[in-house]
Amino acid sequence: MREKRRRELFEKRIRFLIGAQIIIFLILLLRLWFLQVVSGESYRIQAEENRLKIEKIEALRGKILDKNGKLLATNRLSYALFIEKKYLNRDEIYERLEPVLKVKAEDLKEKAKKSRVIREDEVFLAKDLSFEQVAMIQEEKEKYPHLNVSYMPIRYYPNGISAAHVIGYVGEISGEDISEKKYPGADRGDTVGKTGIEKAYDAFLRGIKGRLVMEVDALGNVKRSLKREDPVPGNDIVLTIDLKIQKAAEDALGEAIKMARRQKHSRAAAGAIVVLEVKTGEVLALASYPSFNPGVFVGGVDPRMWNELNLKKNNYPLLNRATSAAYPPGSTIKPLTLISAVENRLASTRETFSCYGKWTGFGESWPKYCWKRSGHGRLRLTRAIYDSCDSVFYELGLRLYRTKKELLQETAKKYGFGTHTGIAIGDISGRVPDKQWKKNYFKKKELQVWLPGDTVNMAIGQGDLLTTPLQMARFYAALANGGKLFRPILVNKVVSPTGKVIKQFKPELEKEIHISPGLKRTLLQGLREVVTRGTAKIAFEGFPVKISGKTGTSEVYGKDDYAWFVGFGPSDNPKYVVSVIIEEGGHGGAVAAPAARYVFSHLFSIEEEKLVSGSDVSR
Amino acid sequence: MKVGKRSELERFDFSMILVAFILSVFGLIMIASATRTGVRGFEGTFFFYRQLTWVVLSIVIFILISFYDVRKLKNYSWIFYMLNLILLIAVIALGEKSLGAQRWIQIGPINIQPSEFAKLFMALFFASYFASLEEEITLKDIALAFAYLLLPVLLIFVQPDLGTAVVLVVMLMGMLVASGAKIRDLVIVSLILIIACAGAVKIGALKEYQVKRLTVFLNPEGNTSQAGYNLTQAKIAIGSGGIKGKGLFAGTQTSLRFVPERHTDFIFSVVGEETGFFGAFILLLLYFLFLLRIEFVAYTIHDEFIRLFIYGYGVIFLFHVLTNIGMNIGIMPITGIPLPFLSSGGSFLLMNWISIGIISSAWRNRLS
Repeated sequence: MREKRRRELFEKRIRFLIGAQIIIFLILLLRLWFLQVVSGESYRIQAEENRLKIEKIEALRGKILDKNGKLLATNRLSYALFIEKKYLNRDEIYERLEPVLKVKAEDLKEKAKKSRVIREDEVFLAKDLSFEQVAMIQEEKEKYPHLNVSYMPIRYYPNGISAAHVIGYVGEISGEDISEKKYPGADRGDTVGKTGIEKAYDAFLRGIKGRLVMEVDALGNVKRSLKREDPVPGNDIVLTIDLKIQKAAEDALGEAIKMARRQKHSRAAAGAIVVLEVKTGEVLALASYPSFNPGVFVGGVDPRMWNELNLKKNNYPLLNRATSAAYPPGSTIKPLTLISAVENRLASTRETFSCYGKWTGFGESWPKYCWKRSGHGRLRLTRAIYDSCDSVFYELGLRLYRTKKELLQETAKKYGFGTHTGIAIGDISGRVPDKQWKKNYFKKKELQVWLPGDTVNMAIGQGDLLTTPLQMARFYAALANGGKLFRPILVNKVVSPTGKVIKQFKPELEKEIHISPGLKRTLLQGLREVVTRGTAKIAFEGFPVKISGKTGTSEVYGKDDYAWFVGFGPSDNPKYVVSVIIEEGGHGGAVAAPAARYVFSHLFSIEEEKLVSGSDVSR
Repeated sequence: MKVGKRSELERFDFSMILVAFILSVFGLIMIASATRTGVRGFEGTFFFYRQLTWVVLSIVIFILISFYDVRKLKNYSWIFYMLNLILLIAVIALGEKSLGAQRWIQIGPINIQPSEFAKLFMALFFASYFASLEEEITLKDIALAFAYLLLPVLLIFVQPDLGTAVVLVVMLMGMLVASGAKIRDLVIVSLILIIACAGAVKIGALKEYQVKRLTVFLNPEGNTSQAGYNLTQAKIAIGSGGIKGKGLFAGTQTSLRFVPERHTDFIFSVVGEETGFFGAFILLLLYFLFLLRIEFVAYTIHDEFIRLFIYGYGVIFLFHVLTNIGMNIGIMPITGIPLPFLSSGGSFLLMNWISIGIISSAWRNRLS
């Protein structure tokens, strides 16, 4: 009886166990269904990510060459030091390396831990070791069992500081650039162009990375290689730059600055020269002084050096003054004023002007003066150009002002001032001042009004008008070639590693501006006579090729005068235009014109050995 | 004679034995796959051969027990109880420390884990204890049962082997259910146990790492501990198996060592990765059929001692399957509870085959 009752109860209770069992198995199956069937794909991807390690193989960067095939940027093999990943935390390794690499042990460790260059099981530690350093490490191999020295290609700039602003430099891509996708296809740890051609043509130069797909275990040990995709080397860029002319321009800048200092312009320390082909807009030279060695950026610039490169006392060597600095043009702008006045029928090429040294266009109580206080007497526009007579241009400025239209500004914009030239390495737009600009620029109401003096100052290039040396060169090229305004081009062609021309660049005519024949004749005659009898006469004394041009001396408040010369030659059939500025170098005819002559001498293969001295008191 | 022998064989419960055998062989394959690239310095075939030895040994012992009339064991319950205590004390006295716990004792060339046998011994002990009760089971009897359990559980808890301690408590609860304890009494006992557990955690009987390990399954990705890593990788392994699995010996998560303890506690991750949902389903089905079969045996036979033992063993088995697979797939806390027939390790395998031997013997003798 008791037995039966217990049995019945047990039978009930075993059903309870079976019920629990069914529920438990259903829960397990449901969860497995969710993990394996519903989310299976996402877990499969996670498992693949666990298992696969993809190592990039950096492509060899393309070369940069000058128009004659001379190397401007290339790669060279260097010794690089790698440390086995497992031993990253061994302090004694860094301590032993400290005297060899001359880098503090803790800095080295820091660098090793942050290093993103990883190959197989090694991490990049130091670049570009000297032969002696390699020997020291190799001789005592037993002291450094976890280190390996191997070859690694690094960027190399064989000409040092030459053309540095054009070429630019490379560096590791920044986080910002990655998130903004500035360099398609590049990611963490990649080397990309940071400035200049290296940046502008990075997509051509960089090539396509290769990949090494490996299987790794949980500890990161490589089990086997699964796939290798070879990198595709980058393409070569052939520039329009002529290294010979580039170097001549750089030498001319250095010498002109020295010369300016000898002439008591002791603050002269910087300048720029631009050389263009008159008929195509091709840039033959683009020099900015002071310069820098782009090689210091390879593999990461050292912070002290970076600081030096950004100091005012070093005159900001990274600044490309040819394209990214704008100056008041001084008298070099006078041809523009002349064009504006004549084309708007406010003056005639046959008109006779008078210069008494003192100009009273605003009334006796507001006199302005010509640089030549004794006056030029009666003169026509041709002479106003070559003698750079301020009185005449004050008069033209006043006439332009009186129309109440912004005619001078219009002409300036027509010739490409106040806008970017479109050069590949980038530039600034400079400034063409007008009523709107003045209103936005000044806070005080009384300063916002456009005055007649503003136009008059602009007419002689001393006001708020700012131009870059490149814009100036382009303007003079247009004067020389009959009104063709080209977009300056720096790159001639892109060539594949196998020598195939991938892209050929042609001159880019931005616009053709009509200049009436009479005006053109007056202008060209005036510019020619600047060199034969005017402000640049002494500087070009005895030069065998006919050169035309204009000097300029711009006055900058609180600074010494800025010396300008922009000219072209041969005068009969202009081929080259040279634009020179020497910051705080004094008078254009005295320092800038001799620098231009030096560059012309190289353009025409006369190769004068040093700068002749000029003399100029105009502005 | 010939006829007699046939009928003798026919009296074996072949379906249960076959399932257990299939599971053991499947376990061998999974262990071979899990350890083929070596584990902690052991060669790729070490664990396979060790497990194979245990399987052979277990089956031999199973056969021996099958031919013994296990109903007699009821009278030896106190011997089992004492033997259990001796073994558990021996672990503490001369045990091998491994992976931060002292769970093994070495006898000659073999390591045994007394806490696994404790499940068997205590199941036999309580089966005997409840079967011997003349009257209906009272709260006093229940209290006494827990008193008997206290010492072994404490000895296991200090090893520390939290999982097995919990298994024993769950097993006792199950056997109380089987013995016909009143629902009211069961509720009272459950409440007391819950309060006792909460109290134990409060006074710090559990170490911080234990609490962490127990709760990590709630948020494994946000947990950087070893346990969190284990669980995350096990889930990736199982999930990545998909429907069909990556194929035997083709799992990457497991062979490339992303899942630690893949041959023992996390062997299910190998099943999930290499055989997929399909294989996992078959495995669960085999476990289900196995349990259903022993429940049928318990339902059929008349001997109350054996009936209660089978119920207790069934609870242990079910709880192992639930917690082990559950922790592999992230729905149960991480405890060192092995998966029956699959996890590498001899003691638990032997314990299972001994239990099958007992059930088999009872089935053979069910009519006598």
